[in-house]
Amino acid sequence: MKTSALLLLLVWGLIPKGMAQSDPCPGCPCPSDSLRTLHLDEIVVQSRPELPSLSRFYQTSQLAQTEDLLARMPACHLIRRGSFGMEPLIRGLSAGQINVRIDGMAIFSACTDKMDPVTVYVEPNNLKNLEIKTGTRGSEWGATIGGSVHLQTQDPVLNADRPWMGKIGTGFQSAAQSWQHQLNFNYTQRRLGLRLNGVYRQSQPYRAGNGQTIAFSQFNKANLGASLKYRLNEQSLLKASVLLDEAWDMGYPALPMDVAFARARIYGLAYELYPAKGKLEFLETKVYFNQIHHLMDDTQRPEVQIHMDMPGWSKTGGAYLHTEWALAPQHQLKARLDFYQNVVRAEMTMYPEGEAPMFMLTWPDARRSVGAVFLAYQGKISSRLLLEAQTRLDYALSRLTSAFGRNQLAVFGYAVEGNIAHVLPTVHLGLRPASEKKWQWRANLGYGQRAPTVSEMFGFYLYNRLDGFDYLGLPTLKTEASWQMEASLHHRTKKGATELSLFYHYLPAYILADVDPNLSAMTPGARGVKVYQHIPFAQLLGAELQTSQTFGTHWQWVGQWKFTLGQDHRAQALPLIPPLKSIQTLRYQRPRWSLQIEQEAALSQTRFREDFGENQTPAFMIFHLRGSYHWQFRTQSIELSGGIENLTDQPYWEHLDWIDIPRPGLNLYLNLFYRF
Amino acid sequence: MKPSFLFFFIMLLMGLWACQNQEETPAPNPLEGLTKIVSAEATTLGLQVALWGEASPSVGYQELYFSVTDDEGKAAREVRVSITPMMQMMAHAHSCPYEALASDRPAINLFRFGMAFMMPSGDMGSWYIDVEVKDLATQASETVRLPLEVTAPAEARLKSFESAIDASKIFVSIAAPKRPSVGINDFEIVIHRRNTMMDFPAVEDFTVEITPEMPTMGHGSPNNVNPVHQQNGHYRGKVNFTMTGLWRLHLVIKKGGVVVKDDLFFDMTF
Ligand SMILES: [Cu+2]
Ligand SMILES: [Cu+2]
Repeated sequence: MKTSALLLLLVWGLIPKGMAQSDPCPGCPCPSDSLRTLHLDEIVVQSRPELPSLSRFYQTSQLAQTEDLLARMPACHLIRRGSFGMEPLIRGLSAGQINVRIDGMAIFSACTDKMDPVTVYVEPNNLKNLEIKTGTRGSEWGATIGGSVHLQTQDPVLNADRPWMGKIGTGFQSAAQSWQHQLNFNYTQRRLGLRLNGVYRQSQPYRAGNGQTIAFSQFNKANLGASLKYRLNEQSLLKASVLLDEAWDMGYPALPMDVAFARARIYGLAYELYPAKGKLEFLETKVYFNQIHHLMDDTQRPEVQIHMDMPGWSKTGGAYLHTEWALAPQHQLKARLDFYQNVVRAEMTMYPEGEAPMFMLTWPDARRSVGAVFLAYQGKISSRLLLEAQTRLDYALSRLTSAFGRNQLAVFGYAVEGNIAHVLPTVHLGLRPASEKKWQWRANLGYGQRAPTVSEMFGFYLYNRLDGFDYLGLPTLKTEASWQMEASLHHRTKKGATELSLFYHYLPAYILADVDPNLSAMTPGARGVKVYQHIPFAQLLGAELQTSQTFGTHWQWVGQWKFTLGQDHRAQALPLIPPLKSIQTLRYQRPRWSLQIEQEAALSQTRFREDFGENQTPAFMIFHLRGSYHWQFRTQSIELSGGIENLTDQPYWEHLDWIDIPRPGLNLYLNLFYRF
Repeated sequence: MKPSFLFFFIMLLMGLWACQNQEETPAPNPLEGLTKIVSAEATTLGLQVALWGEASPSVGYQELYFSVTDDEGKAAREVRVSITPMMQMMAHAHSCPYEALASDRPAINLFRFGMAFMMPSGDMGSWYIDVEVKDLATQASETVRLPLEVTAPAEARLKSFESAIDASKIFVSIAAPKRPSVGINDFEIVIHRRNTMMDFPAVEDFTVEITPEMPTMGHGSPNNVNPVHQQNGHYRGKVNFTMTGLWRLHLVIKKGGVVVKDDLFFDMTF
């Protein structure tokens, strides 16, 4: 494949038709243009498409959580409140500043405390593609300033040599005494493909590096996915998918509450068309619906003044139409129409002894309807330059659907009658040389806006354990904007590739909560009330460096460094900005076995926000050792993998870990798979 | 399936989501929401006198309605009504604060009064209301007696105390909110003074400060409006509740800047 063509593919972030290299069944009679499927267990990570080998590396083990993969993505960090459900952060931006989508579907968490980022619903063995796009490049999935995380689930394989394929595995980790079992099956006929995917996890409270057992860090989770693909004819197919996720008894040591249960139901039905000729190359339309029910309680916690329940619901329904056009040989267009509606409600009920229960809506029946148009052009604008231009316009209407919810906010002087409209334009421009050379540069400019989140607009006394304040929304919040620049330099040799990216964001009207001394806190023990508002501006500056080098035939080194600086208009640090982090991996690979050592390290974070509950986080350095061996018997194989994480049993935590709860100490793990 | 069909499907879905809820308004009925508490016949006038209320009478301020009708339940003749609520106790009898109010319902011969019962019926004594009905055409009048049962509500809606200024007996009763709810509530209190056992004039020159609190959690609510005197001892303001549960409304009552009572409170659980 020509390098320029490769570049085109990478920019699109999808593997379009005709890419025979991705065909999982070479030689099979199905037309390759109806196959956009990769190997069952291959995870393609496309945040840095020029370094595709990165994915294999960070696919540390089939049983690792999707979060473990996210943490190893360039530009990505995780905010940690428990041993499960970590929240992604891209270049210092998170929550409503970024968009997380599953198979193109909008889905929003049901927890007011961000315990359930939607990334938890796609298990690594069901993940085909994890795509992180930074800044306005991520606008395909929604109006954004920070970027996008797109999780694509595994497709059923169509028309393979064998009707049945699958994999069964089990694993154990010592630090949390946790068991993880998984399976996936694929059944295929000429026109039909069916895939079943299941994971069950059970984990006890883990042991940290200092020998201490972290109470309330247990979790239990089952995830079941089923998808069906039916080829209507040579050009088109139907896809239906169901994803069910059930979690119970999930501890969140950094929060005052745990999760009694969390339940997600995700449904999608898509039609895909691959016209044989004409300018339209690909069309996909999809209708979807998902709902999440989340129940937080503190009944397991000792010394609680008043016990409380905090259930939350989030329902999203939507539809989109996605098209890809080849205008001319070097000019491609992608157009997308998006529509979705999300309804959330969260309640808090306190049960004082011998008194009437106390009730409020922490998310007061908020509904948001969004309609959007997205256009992306990519093409050679001169013999030497390639332009990538994207634009998106979102129109978002937010309202409170219940009188109870409106009455609550009326107390604070906000009359939230009718719809609140936000118009969100996003523009992204990228330039790069059309031909690939040893040295290559890339320049990106972007402008984007995002609507304030439900919590930021309507949140009602949401207690934040990190700073100890109750948070109140501000219904009159405007959009948050970002002007951004990115420059990167890429160097490629036969032995490897290196990329350096620099970015800068100027964020006018940045949304940050501030203390309102006139208001009294609701939560017992809270320090006061913060109300979301705009600060004049904020700035983000940072860099990422990745390298992948091979030495001889057996050795490979993959390294990455990521760094972000953030400050507000008073030159104070922004909260939740990680310090410089480095992840280095050295692998020795033989055909049947491999051995690798990893180093994870971060500098101390001395730029922190005390008024947001942060403190100085010490530097750390930890090592992991991993190995694997596999036996092949014709079409079947057995794989044994294992390792030791945090080899030196360091007591450590990262800056984005809430309230300095140490991470797991020395952890021995072992996984066994049978593949057929 | 053709793409056009899917398009149609999507459009249909979009249309469904765009639908708005609509609320209905009920048709008016003069006795809507009222229940008959007691009735008696004015025999010489040949009229039925009935007492109506939103709830059964209880200690505190409430609005009660008197209807005067013929046997068929129609407002036959134009009449005027005056009342005297009385509590008969062992050794003595006393009245309570009451006031005639302009009618707020579309019906003839339906008379509205405000009344603040200060004690419940029981072993201590019993309540009745003497209703004098005067036929405006014939000028004939007749008094009927309506006995009634006054109960004590779970949470006091009326409290009495001696003024710190002149030791006079003061009655403060909550007129609104009748049913407190989360959000902004109209807040209304009525203040009376005991002049004699039969005379309870309205107090019109007090200032009142309110502070709601959730005693269980120790927090309050913002943007409350202190009640200000309107007329006939009625003070109106706003009280805000941010959640359900037990709320305690602290009242500080002053006259000309001098404290009359500073530790008065009412509990409201909803
Ligand atoms: Cu939660
Ligand atoms: Cu409360």
